[in-house]
Parts: sequence; C-alpha cells; structure tokens
Amino acid sequence: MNCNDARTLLEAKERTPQQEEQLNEHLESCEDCRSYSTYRLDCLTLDDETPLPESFKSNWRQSIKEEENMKKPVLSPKFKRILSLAAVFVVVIAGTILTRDNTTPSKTADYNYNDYVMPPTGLVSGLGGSKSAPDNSFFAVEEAAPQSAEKSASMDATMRSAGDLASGQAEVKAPAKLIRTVDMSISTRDFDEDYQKIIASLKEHGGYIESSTINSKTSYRRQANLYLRVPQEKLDKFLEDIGGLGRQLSFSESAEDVSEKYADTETRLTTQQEKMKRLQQMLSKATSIEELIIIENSIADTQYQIDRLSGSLKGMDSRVNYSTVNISLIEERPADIEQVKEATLGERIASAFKNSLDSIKDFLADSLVFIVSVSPVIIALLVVIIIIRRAIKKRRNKKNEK
Amino acid sequence: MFRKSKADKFESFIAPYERGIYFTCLRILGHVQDAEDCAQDCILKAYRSFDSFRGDSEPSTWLYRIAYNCCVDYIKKRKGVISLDALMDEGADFEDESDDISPYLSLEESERKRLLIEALSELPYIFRFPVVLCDLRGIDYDKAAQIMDIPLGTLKSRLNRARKKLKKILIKNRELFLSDDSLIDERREINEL
Repeated sequence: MNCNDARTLLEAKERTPQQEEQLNEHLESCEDCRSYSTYRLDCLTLDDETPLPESFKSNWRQSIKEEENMKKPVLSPKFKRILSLAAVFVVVIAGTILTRDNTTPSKTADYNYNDYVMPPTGLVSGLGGSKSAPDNSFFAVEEAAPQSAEKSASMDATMRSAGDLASGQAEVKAPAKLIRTVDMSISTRDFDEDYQKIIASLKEHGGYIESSTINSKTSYRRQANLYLRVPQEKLDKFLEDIGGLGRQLSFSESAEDVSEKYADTETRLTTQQEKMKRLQQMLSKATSIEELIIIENSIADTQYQIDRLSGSLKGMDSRVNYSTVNISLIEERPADIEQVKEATLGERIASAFKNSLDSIKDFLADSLVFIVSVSPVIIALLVVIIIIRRAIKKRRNKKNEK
Repeated sequence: MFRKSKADKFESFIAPYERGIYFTCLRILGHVQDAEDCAQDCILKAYRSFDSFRGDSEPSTWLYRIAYNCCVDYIKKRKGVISLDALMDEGADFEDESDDISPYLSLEESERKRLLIEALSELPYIFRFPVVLCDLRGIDYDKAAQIMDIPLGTLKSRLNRARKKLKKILIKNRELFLSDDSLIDERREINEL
C-alpha cells in the first residue's frame, strides 16, 4: 500500500477489516501517514469535549418562536384547498344566476304588445262615423296641450280678451262616460276550438281585434294573447258567452270614469271654437299687414288646439264606446289537466321532486354554459398567475441562497 | 386548521446539525460571540427557507451552505472586503524552516488540539473554509466544493495549501507553546545525549 492509498483509506468513512489491517501495517512504517492520521483524528474530535453554549441553544430557539408568532397564521393546505373550491363554487353560481337570463330561451309567453292599430275590415260591423279608431297622436297631443295653452296665453291682449270672452260663455254638462277594461286568462284543452269561439263571439257582438299573438316557442303548450274591443253595451253578453270556455285562471275588470275629463275637454273645445269665430271676424276687419299676420298666427294656433281637443274627445269616445278585453288563452297539457284533480300527497311530493330535479338540471346546464363562456378568460388569467408565481419563487430562492 | 408547528418541525430537523453549525462558525470566525451571532443568523435563515427546501440535496449540505454564506457575509462585513480572494495571502507566510511535524505529534492530545485551534485562527480565511469543512466536519470533497460553490479541483488545491500552511504554523507554535522551562529541559536532554 502506498501513501496515497493510505490517505484515501484514512479519509474513507468506512473500512473493511482487511483494509484496516493493511492501513495499520502502513502506518507503522510511514511517519508521514501516521502524522496525517493523528492530525485527522485531532480535527474530527477537536470540539467533542467542548460544550455548546447555553445562550446559543436558547437564543436560536427563541428567535424562531418569535418569528413564528410574528407571522400571520398559515392556513393548512387542506383548508386552502377547501376555500379555493368554495370560492370557485360561489363564482360559478353567481355567474350562472347573473347570466342565465341572457343564455336561456324564454320559457314563458312573450306578450307582443302591438301598436294601436285600425281594426281589420270584415271584423267590424255596425260602426258609426264616431266609432272610428283613434289616431296614434292621441297621447302625444294630450301631453303637448299645456305648452300650447301657455303659448296661446302669451298672445296679444286683443286675442286674450277674445278667448276669455269665449270661455266665460261655456257651460259644462258631462254625461257619464265609463271606460271598461277586462283582463282574463283561460286555460283550455281545446285551444284551437276555443280560440275560434272567442273570435266568433266577438264578431257576433260587433267587436274587433286590436291585436292577437300566439306564442308557440315552448314545445308543449301554446298561448294566445288577444286584445279585443267590444261595444260597451255588448260587453256583458260577450263575457257571458266566453265565460264557459276552458278553465278561468284569472279575471279582473276595471271601469274608469272619464266623465269629468270628457266634459272638461268638451268645454275647452267649445272655447276654442268660439275663439276661432271671433278671430275669423277680426281677420275680415284687419286693416294692416301686422294685424293680419298676428290674427292668422292666432288662428293657426287655435285651429291646432281645436284639432287636438277633437282628437282627444274622439279617443275617449272610442274607449268608452268600445270596452277593452284582454284575454290570455293558454293551452293545457294532459299533466296540467291531471293536476286540476285533487292530487294525493304522494303525487304532490313526486311532482315537487320532479320539478326540483328539472330545476337542478336546468341550473347545471346554465352553469355549464357559463363556465364554457368564461373559460378563455380564466385560462388566460391562470397562465399569468403561474408566470408571476414562478418569478417570485425564483427571486425568493436566489435571495435565500445569498 | 392553523399550522403553528413549523417551529417544532424545524427544531427537530435542525437538532442533529446544531453543534456542527456552531463549531463551523466558531472555527472559521475564531471568536465565540461572533460564532454565536453567525450561527444564529444561519439557523434563522434556514428556518425562513425551510418551506422551500425540497430535499434535492442532503440536509447537511443545504445547512452548511447557508452557514458558509453567513460566515462569508460576516467576514466581509468585518474586513470590509468584497471578495474573500483578497484575503488569500493574509496571515503568516512562513519560510520552510522545517518540515518535521513529529515534535507536534509528541504532545498530549489536549495540547495538540489547543495548538490546532490556535493554528486555525492564524490561517487565512480562504484556507480556513476547506480545512473546517473537510478536515474538521469530515465533509466529502465534492460536497464541500458544492457548499463553497467552487470546482472540485480548486477545493483540493486550496485544501492542500491550507494543510501545508497549517503544518508550518503548528511547528512554529509548538516551540512557542512550550514554556521556557520545558525548552531548557529539552535542550539539556539533547546536550546530555
């Protein structure tokens, strides 16, 4: 054995008995290796007898305890996972609820309120000239009335005096004017038949259809929304005729007394008409261009008021003479019909359970739609978060190693 | 739910290395108070990084690396230098007066160890590290190179030079260690011979 081998064996952590014997043999004859062996042993056992300072032992333990107490309590990984899952759950539910109206097709009936239209020919019979349908300008004209009244009030003193004279002569005599409105919903097994019966009865009593829509979006039942105008004197008879159709789900009737309003409008109209007469007289007597212009302007304004008030009266007449009947005709499913019968407790439980299951199914479907719709955003966010976390970790490790 | 046993876990983890870390710092820095401060700093840093320790290296290698870095920082602060290489030639550089270590070996074990401690404190820092890690701590050369972040060849070269320097210091100090009376007795024995 040479000195290199001996030193290698001296530095080895374990030696076989044979190696030990060989080493000892070499050490007996080699002073250099012997001295190295002694040096090595001295080094390895240098501090064996020296005790560890008590201050050091307690100080570092205290330091880490202080460090631990200063830190905020750390959530266990399990709890962190639960919190994360709960947060995701809340986000999905909230997102689904907020967005589901936009994603799911409407399952309820769409009420298609058409504009106020003229009755189609053929459905209306026995209507007089006064019973024509009002213009669309009915409501707009009423709102503009106060402004126009103010404008006319700021006219020349001579014009004002003519108007005052006319209004002083008018007398208010208001007959009773009632606008009747009926709202009802009917559930029927024979949707088509009952629909035709309603229309037929309407024709029979001299009414007309203001608007009619049939919603068949849902696969299992249809719903018709009818806005009908029935002569006020025939209303009760009409309601009696259709009262026997299907099963009435709801019924409400209201009567608005517009007598005072009507009388007021009539009076104002009379006033304006009187004013017009006076203005016409004044026009014939006008001597200057300026007078002519002023009078003609006043005539134009007065004519406008007359037209507006006449239209308003016509509209009220129409609504008084023709009552409004709004009918929702809903087609019944066989399951709906069965539910009309007295359900047993078991049937009610089963039905409620099935409805809950359907609701859950719908909600899960909506949730899936929501998750898929936001997934591109979430994926992008996750990528960014992962990159940032890695960068922070790398920096932290570098700092610790330094 | 709230985990407060990290300190306890760490204490169990560090317990087997507590002495090693302290005495490594002591033999490198040469001063008890400095060694306490440095070792405490090292353990605190290890605690802060405890969560990120994945076990890729051995715990001893990881801990001694932190201890080495702490000692280097401490020395740099004390000496006001940027690199330990500047301290390469620090310390006594003795002429080759004698290569005979046997007088040192003739001393009692406790005396030898005392001389060794003194010799270590005279060794330049750059040579102290490999001696403390490899000879005193018994760490393998490749792990020591990893701890010091130097090539294996560099480590062996420094260790070799360190041991030579140490030997010279030991021989010189042995003569200084011995009292005047002992020297007189020794000379008398030689004369009688």
